[in-house]
Amino acid sequence: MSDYQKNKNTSVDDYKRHVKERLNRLVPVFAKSSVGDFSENVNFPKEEDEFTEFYSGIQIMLDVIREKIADLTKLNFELERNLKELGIERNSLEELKNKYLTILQNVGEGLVATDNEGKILIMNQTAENILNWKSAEVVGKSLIEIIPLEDDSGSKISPAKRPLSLALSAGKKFEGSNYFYRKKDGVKFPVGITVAPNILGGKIVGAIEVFRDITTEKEIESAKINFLSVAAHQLRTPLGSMRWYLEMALSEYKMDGELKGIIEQVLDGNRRMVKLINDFLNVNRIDQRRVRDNPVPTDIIASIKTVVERQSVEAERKSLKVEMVFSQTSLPQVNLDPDRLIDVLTNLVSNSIKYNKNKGLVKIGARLIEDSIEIKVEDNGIGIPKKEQEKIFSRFFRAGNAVRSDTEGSGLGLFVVKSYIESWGGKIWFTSQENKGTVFTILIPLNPKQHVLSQSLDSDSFGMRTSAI
Amino acid sequence: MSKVLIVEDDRNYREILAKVLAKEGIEVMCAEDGQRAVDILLEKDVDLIILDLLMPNMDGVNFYYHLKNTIKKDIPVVILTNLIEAPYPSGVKDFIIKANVSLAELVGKIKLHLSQVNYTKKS
Repeated sequence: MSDYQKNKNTSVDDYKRHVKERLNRLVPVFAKSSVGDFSENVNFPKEEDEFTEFYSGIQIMLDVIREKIADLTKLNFELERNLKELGIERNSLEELKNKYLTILQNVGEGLVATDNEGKILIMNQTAENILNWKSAEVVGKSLIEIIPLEDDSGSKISPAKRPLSLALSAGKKFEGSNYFYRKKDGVKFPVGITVAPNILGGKIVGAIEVFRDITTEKEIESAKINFLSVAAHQLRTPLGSMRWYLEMALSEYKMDGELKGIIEQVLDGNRRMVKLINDFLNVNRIDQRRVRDNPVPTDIIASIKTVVERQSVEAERKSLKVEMVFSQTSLPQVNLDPDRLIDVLTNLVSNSIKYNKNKGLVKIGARLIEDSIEIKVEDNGIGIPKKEQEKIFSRFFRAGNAVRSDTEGSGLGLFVVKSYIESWGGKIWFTSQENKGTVFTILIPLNPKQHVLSQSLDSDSFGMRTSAI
Repeated sequence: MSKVLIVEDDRNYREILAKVLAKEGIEVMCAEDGQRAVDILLEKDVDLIILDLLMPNMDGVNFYYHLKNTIKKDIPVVILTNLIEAPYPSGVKDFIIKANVSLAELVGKIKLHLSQVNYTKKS
């Protein structure tokens, strides 16, 4: 029996009426809630009864719902605000991207971006123009495979040695300008390349290569350095063919002794002119620090013997006595270019022979002094006049008595000799007395310093000859 | 009989080389620049190429590139030039400076290179 019934002692109909009334109190709440309006509160009756708990439950539920609605409204508001901001950001990012793309496309240098395998991601307009490739044709392909790269000598650069590969593997920037690219049609042009790796979060994700056609720069450069080389080439061309015609004449035709002698004289003059050109070129290369230098451990005694051997015919012609004096049978080897050493020794020994009188003496000695090797080249020939001694190592200078005794020399020899010796960190000096003789002394340190006459070349597959003096 | 192609723009050098090699029983073909040499080699084969560097139309280095990549024939090349400070391809068999070598020495070197070619052919 309900509390109500206990208290009032009424009939079932009255109870039915009571329940209906209590439930009807909630109709406004449910009616509004069903359309999303949670503003209505529960209408609590004055007296508490078995429905009170039920009403309280509904009221609490309404309160919670209202709270949640408030939270959601706030959240929604924030979300909308965020979306709006993102929208703005996206627009400005888009704008920024376009701005950078425009810059990229129009920058004056070719630009190619690759992934970390060297496959092309983008190629800008300038690159397209320079290489004759459309970016659509190359995107996704390996840059190294599509665009051949060569060094100065025309040799293809191996994939591992290409700047792109080096940058990707070492994670460092690489640049070089001793390169040539081949365009789509195979035409090659000199190119200056800079490649930088693209690093994101500590990992190499790709690379960016920027390159320029440097044809004009190279032309200017080569005009500067090679003017004399080309000039020398132009002089050598007729001299070379002249020499061969004369040699052919001598070997193919029978001629009397007088004619043969004349032709041999002409050939000799030709030989001297070639030597002169070579000397001039050597001086120029020393001036411009372009002498090829290959230091290897060199046996000085062996070099001296070689030089004496080569000069022996000339020495015999003047009936000169040639002596070699070494302090020990073998001297420690010295790290220098043996060709350069032979050039130096040849010059000094041939001078001793040239500026000597018949039946004179030439003495060459070598010995170890502390941490250097001392070489002396001595003769009892015409000597060097005192007032000309200070100019003896300068270019083109020949002492008066040398010119009188032999008109051949170019005056370049001792200048070259001194330059080589000084490049080894060594010294050369002489003592001389007119008509008595001359002694040249060279001191070469056992550990020659860095060779300032070395040539700096980027490519190591590049081959080059040096002239013979 | 060995066949040699001379690529040289100077008429005098072409004449001398052709004469002196013919005397050795070598068959000689001449081209006055790289382009002509390419044209010849597209049709014919030779055992040795003697190549000058400074030539109009197509110089020695460009010719060498075409020999390797367009003509694609593995013919040994000897550079014969007066340009001492020129870069040259590293795959050549020899580098000879005209003015510094006598005719007899030059013929000797060419015959030596040809004999190596013939040797590899036989084996």
